[in-house]
Amino acid sequence: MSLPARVATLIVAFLAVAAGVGFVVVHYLLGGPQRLTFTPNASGQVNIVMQVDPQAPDNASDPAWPTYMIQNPQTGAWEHTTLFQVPAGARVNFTVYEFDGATPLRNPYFGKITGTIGNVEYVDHKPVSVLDSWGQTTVAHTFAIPSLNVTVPLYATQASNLCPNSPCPTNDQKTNPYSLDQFSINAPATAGDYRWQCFIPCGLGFLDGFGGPMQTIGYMTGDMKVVSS
Amino acid sequence: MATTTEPAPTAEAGEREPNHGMRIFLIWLPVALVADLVIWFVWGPHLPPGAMASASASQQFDIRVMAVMAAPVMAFVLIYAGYAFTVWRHREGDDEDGPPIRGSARISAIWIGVSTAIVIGLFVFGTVELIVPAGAGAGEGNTAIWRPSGATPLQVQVIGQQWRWTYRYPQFGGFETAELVLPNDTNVQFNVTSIDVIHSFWAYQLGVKADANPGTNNIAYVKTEQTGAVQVRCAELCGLWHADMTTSGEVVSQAQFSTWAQSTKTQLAAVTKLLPPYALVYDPTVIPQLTKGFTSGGIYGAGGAYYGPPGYPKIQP
Amino acid sequence: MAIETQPEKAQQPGGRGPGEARPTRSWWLRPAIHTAIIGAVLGYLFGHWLGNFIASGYQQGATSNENDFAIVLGYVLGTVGWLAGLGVFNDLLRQIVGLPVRAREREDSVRGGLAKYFRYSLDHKVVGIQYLIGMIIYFLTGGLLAMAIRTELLSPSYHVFSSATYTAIVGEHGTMMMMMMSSVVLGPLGNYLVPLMIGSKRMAFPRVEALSFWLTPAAYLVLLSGLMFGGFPFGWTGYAPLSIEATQGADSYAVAFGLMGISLILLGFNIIVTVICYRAPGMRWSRVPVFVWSMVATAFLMVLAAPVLVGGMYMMITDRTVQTAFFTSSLGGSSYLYENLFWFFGHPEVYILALPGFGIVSEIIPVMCRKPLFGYRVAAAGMIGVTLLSFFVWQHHLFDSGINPDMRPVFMLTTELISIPTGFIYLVALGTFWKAKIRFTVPMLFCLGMYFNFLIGGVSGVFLSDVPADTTEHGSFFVMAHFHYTIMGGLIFAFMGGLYYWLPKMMGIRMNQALGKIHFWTMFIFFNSTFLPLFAVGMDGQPRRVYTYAQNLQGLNDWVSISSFALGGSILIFLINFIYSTVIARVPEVGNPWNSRGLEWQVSSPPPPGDFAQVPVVLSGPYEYGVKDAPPVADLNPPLGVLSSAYAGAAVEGAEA
Repeated sequence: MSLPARVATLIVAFLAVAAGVGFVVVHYLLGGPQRLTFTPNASGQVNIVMQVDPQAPDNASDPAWPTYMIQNPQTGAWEHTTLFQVPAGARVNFTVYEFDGATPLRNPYFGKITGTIGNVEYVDHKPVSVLDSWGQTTVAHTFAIPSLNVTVPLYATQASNLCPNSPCPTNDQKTNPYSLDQFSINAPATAGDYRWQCFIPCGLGFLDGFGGPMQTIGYMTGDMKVVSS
Repeated sequence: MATTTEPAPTAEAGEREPNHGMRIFLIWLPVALVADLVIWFVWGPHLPPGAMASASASQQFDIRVMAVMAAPVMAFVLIYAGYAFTVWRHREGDDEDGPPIRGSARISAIWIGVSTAIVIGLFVFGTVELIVPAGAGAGEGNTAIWRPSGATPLQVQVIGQQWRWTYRYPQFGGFETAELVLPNDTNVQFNVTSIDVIHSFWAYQLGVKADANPGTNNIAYVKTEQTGAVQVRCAELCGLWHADMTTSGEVVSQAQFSTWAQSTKTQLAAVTKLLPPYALVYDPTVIPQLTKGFTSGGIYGAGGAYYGPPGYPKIQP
Repeated sequence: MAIETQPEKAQQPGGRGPGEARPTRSWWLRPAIHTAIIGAVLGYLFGHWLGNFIASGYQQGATSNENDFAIVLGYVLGTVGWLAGLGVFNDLLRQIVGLPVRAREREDSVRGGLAKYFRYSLDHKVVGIQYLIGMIIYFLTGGLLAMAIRTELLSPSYHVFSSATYTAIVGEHGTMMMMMMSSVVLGPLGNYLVPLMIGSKRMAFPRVEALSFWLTPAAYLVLLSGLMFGGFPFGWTGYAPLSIEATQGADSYAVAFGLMGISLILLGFNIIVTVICYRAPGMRWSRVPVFVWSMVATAFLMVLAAPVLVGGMYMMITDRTVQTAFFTSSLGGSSYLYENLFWFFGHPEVYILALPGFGIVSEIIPVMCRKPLFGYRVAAAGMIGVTLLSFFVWQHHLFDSGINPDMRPVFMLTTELISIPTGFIYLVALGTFWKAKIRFTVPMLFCLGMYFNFLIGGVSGVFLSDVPADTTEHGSFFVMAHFHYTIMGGLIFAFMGGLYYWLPKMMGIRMNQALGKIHFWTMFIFFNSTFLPLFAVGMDGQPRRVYTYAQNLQGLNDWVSISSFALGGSILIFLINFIYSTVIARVPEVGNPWNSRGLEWQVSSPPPPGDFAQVPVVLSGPYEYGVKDAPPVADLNPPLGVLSSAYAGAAVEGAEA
């Protein structure tokens, strides 16, 4: 090939490689669920509403996996994400609609509620401080922020007809039974990313139940970003 | 192919070949001495991982000794090479080949002898340093053979799980906590195990590292010698939040430790009742109190994915 | 009347008369990479369908939302399709049905053009160039992944990638480098140069050699496709049970590593047989170039260690797909089994990476010093010693893992002992520098860089072999710095040196020497600037494979990250030099530019088809510099009858090997 032809081929090849690398980086490496931003209300508190479903929405990457979902504070729609942002130092009130059935904790130590205000969670408005997930069908999933020593085992719904479609509607306890679990924490004063995870091995089909959704952000684990106000 | 003995220095008309070996030695000797003195006295006391406990102190000593042995070796190679590149570089216009020295049995023997002696010495030193400080903080498996003498050490079980460390104190009723608190001036025996994948318990300031394997116990000993904070990290990639399995523990005085242990035992009494009895390993699939109320999805999730443990009742949804 | 006999001529397959050229079809009708891609796609689709057909009823698949069996079968049959599309099985099938096999070993290098590099070529020189381009591509891919890692590590609190993506990138980088760089010297330089260096016209098993190359793009693509599935979260070591628990990206890891293991076995096997059986008359073991010694030693390591890897990966795959329990302790298996299987391969693997570097530098420095190699026997003994001892040290990766405690002093001893034969390389180098006439050409600079880097890497290995010190260093960035110094600082620097040295031989063109010097100095300075602080970072408590770290280490990490970007820039300079020299400038260099006595330099550059017009008779070793009246290296046109008398002489004397 003549010199101009070689140079032209080189340039084309270089652009193709750069485009390929760019595509892989943007599409596979930089993607992820969206992060929902929460701002304090009139009394300076942040309210976060979440639900835990036995399966994920049909358009999710893995519809068979159990998942958390967070309600968008502006639109009220249920978003399939586990990433959210709160201001530093604010009191954060969590309301969780727990639609999934019970599974035993691998380590029953995580049945004790710690790190919340009062070290309790309110199950159907009644305070609870320890749950026995081995002897009773009480725990479905956990919401834990280990670096803040927050551990909240979420009380399971005791019905046997679990909600079949995600996101589960919260208006009808007969067709879509849930357990209402509420707790509050104080967001730390230092800004940063605080990961949270579930400690129930609910990754069905994976060895020891800890694969799949347990290790995938957007399902059973995520992070709470604290920003200075 | 015969090796020639080292030829006599080639004598050019009216000149004597300088004694290159002696020159290199004379440059090397002061450099090695100064380096060794600086390493031993100046840098030595500050070498990682510090001297807060018996294991970390003995490791610091090991690193000091090895650095003192490594520095002259590296200095020799670098000085020799630097000398060679200055004195024996190719000069413009000289197209002759170098002298045909194919080898020297004497030099090779000296080199092999010295390197063997250094290596054997390091081996003996390393073995002694491993045995004497009761295993030097390294995980010894489930049958430790190098134990500290004296009374039974404080037993601390380290449970690794994805992705948090918890600790059980069997001598205080078997309570489990996420805080690591240790008394000063005490022999501690860590029994490290995992309930899912392989983790590695690394208490940096104590100089303890023991892998947490599922289904086995890994014992490591240390004697705490100073109070202070201890950084605990996971040193074996264990999945998504491996980097976040970091906590800080503390070494406190013996009195403070007793107070803490008693008060934590009372505080956690409710959840200690729910824990399995203290054992050196835990089978993640065994849940003895399983009731009939669980859904079929629940059984498989706890039982370990695609196999339920033997005897599991299969519940109709 | 006497019976007249016709002189014998080679029979042309296919029934044509002698001397008639075989018509060739156009390039798109002959099997090449385009048919291979079609075969791979068809094979993957069929395998995936077959896997779903067999295994979609498994409850494990329904609840986990992935069918690992289908993915693995898809990859395996996709690779079979890839090879079938290349025409790998054509000769085999022809023999099975009784058709004559095509003899096309020499025609490839006769024909000019680039098409032959995209085919299943049986010419070892073509395979060498294919390997060279492949290895450069794999290295650059791994390097880009490394840039991504260091970008994330710029800050412990601001995260560019999520933790899952970062862990996947770390795993891809490590696996890509460790898998692929095992063949970075044996593939390009070994395959190309070994026949030339021993006076052979061919390799022993050309089909096996070509197959070992064509498995590498398959392994590369399988590994990269894991990123599409979310990657794998367990690094290149793949410890069970995390690797059993992981999602479907782990299947690409296991299949890719298994394929590469097979490629290593084939590559090594071919080189061993070639060197043992195809040496020219007069090429005694005491005249074999030290580079070939290192190729043979590495090849033995490949052939003996890689099968254990393939077995381990196979067990991991069955654990993940068909519910065996090799590595699951709650079901009677053991996580220790995987660790030991992996490291029984893993330790020889790192010597597979180090030995070729030793071979290259020991081969180049006599040429640049114009002196014989000091202690040829010591060098060969060192390589053999490293090869033997490397099978006895693997548990030093497992000192803290809970193995039998009294085995640890044993493995401490063997690990420290292996530093003795490794040190022979330095004895040989320092002896060669003694009273030499050192020319600081670009290849020589890279060799010197290799010696410097490997010194640091090797000494840090002694620190790691001491069990108490290893208790702090294991699983930290200290280990990372150690193996980057020995593998990248050792092997890759040596590879660059070898490339600059032998590219005139392989392609008949020279690389730009000015750019080469810039490449060396930037690479050397920024390599050391990147990896030297990592010893401190590790000793200060930062574990490996983490996306966040203690705040006080941010300064060091930032220094390292910036240096690594500059290091990437220096590799870019290399790439620019390589592409500019081979594609655009193409400055011819057809003689013996380094004035080397090596047998490979006695033929033209690039060598003619068939390498030597006749099998040469070797008259002396390749390191006879400075010897007055040294005989030439070889007689390239031995008179008729010399070969037979040489063999007859061997039978009588029994001394020639």
